[in-house]
Amino acid sequence: MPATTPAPMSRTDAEIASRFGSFVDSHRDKAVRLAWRLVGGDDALAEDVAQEAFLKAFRALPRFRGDAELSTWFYRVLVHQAHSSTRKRATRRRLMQLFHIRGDAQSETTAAIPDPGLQRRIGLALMQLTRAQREVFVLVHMEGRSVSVTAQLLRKAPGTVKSHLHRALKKMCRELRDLSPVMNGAKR
Amino acid sequence: MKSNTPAPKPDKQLDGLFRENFAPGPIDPDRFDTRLGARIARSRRRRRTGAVGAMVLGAGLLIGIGSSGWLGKQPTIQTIVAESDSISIDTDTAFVLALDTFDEPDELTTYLPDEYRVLDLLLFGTL
Repeated sequence: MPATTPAPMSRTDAEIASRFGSFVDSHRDKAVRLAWRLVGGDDALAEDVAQEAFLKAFRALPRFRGDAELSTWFYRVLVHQAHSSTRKRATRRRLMQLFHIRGDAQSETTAAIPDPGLQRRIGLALMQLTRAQREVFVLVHMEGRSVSVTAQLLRKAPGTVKSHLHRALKKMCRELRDLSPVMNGAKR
Repeated sequence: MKSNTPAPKPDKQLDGLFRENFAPGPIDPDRFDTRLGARIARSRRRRRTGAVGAMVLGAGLLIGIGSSGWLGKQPTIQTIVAESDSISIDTDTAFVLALDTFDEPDELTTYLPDEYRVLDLLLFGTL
């Protein structure tokens, strides 16, 4: 492809680029971490999800005045993107299994964690949850967001979020009860 | 209606277990930003190509509409397709072309809620 000379940036373009740069700087780590957790611990997929959400934020930037408004919208988009990518990955894997094609294994994880076995178990247990349960569980228990903030982000009633959380926690404890005394304590 | 579901009790020990044992490693911000920049540039190129394609198609449609002599009627994709024999385009193709201009069908439904706007896009390549 021949190299093209980029068009000179207008003042508005420069302002948008500057705002977007600051936005990426502030949210890059959080976005990748949330995406990573939502997709069940896949590095490459998490980065793709985060980048796709940032791309959408870039396009939507002129519509938003403040960073707070944009970030709520951004994380909502990211959660949807994670779901969509996870579903595509599952379909691709099913098709590959159907045609006996090997490969497309989950990418290597860079996570530096105390117990890789436990990380794998948590990831698998998370993927056993329904979409709604996984989203609220990750946002509240792993990301430390409040029920009301999570409800606002997912556009659900706080009562619905609590109900999903309750079921998610019960399932997680059932799946992981053999791993830790903490889980045994929590199931009661 | 008031929810009967009790709020889950905060359990710092349990949350700590999940957070510590299920987190990605540090990311390389430079690599991430470079890839994001390339993705944005690619997306812009795709959009420009789509807009040019829509404009070329739009010019073709205008010629066809003019020659078919139904200017002044309510413009819908169906009527263009039905009455403009000089252009080889069917409804599905018209919609696919309009959809291709956007990366996400969501955007199409947001900005182009009816056929008339799809036609606008096809004719002028703009929102």
